[in-house]
Amino acid sequence: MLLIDFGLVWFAAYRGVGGLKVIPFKWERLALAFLFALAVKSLILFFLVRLGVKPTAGIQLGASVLVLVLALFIIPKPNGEEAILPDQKTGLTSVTWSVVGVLFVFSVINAWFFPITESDAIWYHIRGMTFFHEIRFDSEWVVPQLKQYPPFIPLLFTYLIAFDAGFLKIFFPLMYLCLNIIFYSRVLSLTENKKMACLFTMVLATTPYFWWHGVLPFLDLTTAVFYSIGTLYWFFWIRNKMEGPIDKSAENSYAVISGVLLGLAAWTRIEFLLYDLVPVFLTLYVFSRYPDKNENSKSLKLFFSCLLLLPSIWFLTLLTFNMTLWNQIKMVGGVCIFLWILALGLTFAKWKLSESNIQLAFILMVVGYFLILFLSGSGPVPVWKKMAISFYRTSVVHIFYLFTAFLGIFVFFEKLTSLSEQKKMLGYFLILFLCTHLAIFAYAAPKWPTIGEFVYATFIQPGNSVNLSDTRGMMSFYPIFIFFISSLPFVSRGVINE
Amino acid sequence: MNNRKWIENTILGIIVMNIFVMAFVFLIPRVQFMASHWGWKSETLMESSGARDTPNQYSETYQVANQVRNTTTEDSTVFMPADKWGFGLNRAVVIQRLYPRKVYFFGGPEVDKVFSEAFKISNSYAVFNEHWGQDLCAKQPVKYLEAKRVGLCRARR
Repeated sequence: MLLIDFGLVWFAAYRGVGGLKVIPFKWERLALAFLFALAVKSLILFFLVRLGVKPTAGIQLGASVLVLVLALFIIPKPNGEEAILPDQKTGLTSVTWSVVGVLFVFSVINAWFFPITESDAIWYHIRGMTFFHEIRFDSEWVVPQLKQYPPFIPLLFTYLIAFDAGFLKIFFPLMYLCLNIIFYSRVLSLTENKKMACLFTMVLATTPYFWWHGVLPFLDLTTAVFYSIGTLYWFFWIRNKMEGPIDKSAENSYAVISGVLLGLAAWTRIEFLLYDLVPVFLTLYVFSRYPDKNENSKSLKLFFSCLLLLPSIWFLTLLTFNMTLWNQIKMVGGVCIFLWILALGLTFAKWKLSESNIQLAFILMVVGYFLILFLSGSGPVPVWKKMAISFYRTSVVHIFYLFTAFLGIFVFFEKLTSLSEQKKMLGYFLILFLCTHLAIFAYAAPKWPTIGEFVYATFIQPGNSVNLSDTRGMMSFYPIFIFFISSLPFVSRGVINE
Repeated sequence: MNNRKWIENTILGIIVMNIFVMAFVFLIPRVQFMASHWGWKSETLMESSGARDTPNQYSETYQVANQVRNTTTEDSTVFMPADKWGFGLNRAVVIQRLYPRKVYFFGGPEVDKVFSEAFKISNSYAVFNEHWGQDLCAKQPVKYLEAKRVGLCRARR
């Protein structure tokens, strides 16, 4: 039953992805459709619970059939053309997929074998059960802090509970696999070289932290998958816009895919709405720098609406809760409102974007952030100390990503000033991501009050900090970082025999 | 070694080192754990110490919660002591294992009121240990659980 139900939604999502006409590889379409199918399932479950309907297997199956029928009627049948690459014989392809396959199978075995006993994950499991049995999102059995978390992962648990499947962790290894498939396809699309795609996919797949989180039922691998893949598609959208001639259809498709995925990241962890400010800001910057090609604001509309839809639904749901949580989420809520005003202003009030306006907005945002930081800094840890701790953490968490972080060495051999505008934009993205990460954790209360304790927890007792929120959040950075390295001309010259 | 080779070799070296670390930190300890616990039920695994990379912090709580779960039914009401009486049970684990049973922790809001009406509920239980709650079960048949000298009785006055 479960497989039939998911198969129906997956097929509908596959049809939708095919209809976008920008995904050239079948495996990539399947992997992306899988992620979209999860999103559709979570939305079906969300609305069933919201409407007070118990999401039993039968009702879900009915809803899935409806989704499939709608997809078949609304979306025209794609022509199914595959991208044709020059014949490149490399034994690395089979090696790469053997490595990824073995790691994936082992993570499936782990996910099947180990029950959910990890502290936060226990609460996600409880939330999944309460959604199903109580048909509400604010069960009294769940502690207030956990109630405010977006519902994506608990809804997936609800899905499996409704079908009486005991194998609740199965989605995490599948996320890991999808990440690798899509990453491979994107590097291949960029470089048109299988050797490059294989080598960098193997770097990503073998990064221990990623594999580890493929068997842990936390939110972070899921957000990393959505955020990083969303950013890769965002890059192709921006690249399309900057390179021209403009293919409006492709531009709209990339805007939809990246918007949905970045929105899904916030649908999983609400603070990712703050990280979403990075692609939003850079998108506006690009649109302001290329005003002559700026006639297509449809892609902007699609991008903003797809990005904001899911987190806004969750904020509206939070308003119905009988609890006082706004202190904890006021900053994220404020950003959500700000993004809606921005989106509506740009698309309906026809606000004009200019490079100087964007730069001014950036300066105002930085000043505003520091004002908020200092005005709200009345906790036990002084603001300067929180900033120092956050700076330290943002700098050193990379040791948990081990050797993959060493890829950064190639940046020092590249002539960065001669990089293309698109690649520079990706580099700016990485820098802004790190700055946003630093800013978020300078605002949040640190786990320990002194840097000394963090140093101890990093180097003497790494087990205490390997799974801190900021370490896990950095997972969203690495696929983009590896992709950026693969795009460097110095690296591709060295790997491709030209 | 020419320029081309060192770049490729560096990337391959990163992959090899990643696999090496992953094997020693995660894969091998997990395989060892799975081999020594193969065939165990999920419930029993929850009570184990867990794999080395993710040690189970709540094995004792799982032992207690699983036994209460096996004694009670899904429509039961269970009264648990608060942490201050030396149980050290993790609230999340207790709810995870006992849900959809109604679980109340003493010291929580409205628990006293609910408990005062417990005698009206035919299917309610109280969990006690050596520090707290034995008087609740003074006139009731008691089932002693294996973990931490914890017992369980019908909650009736």
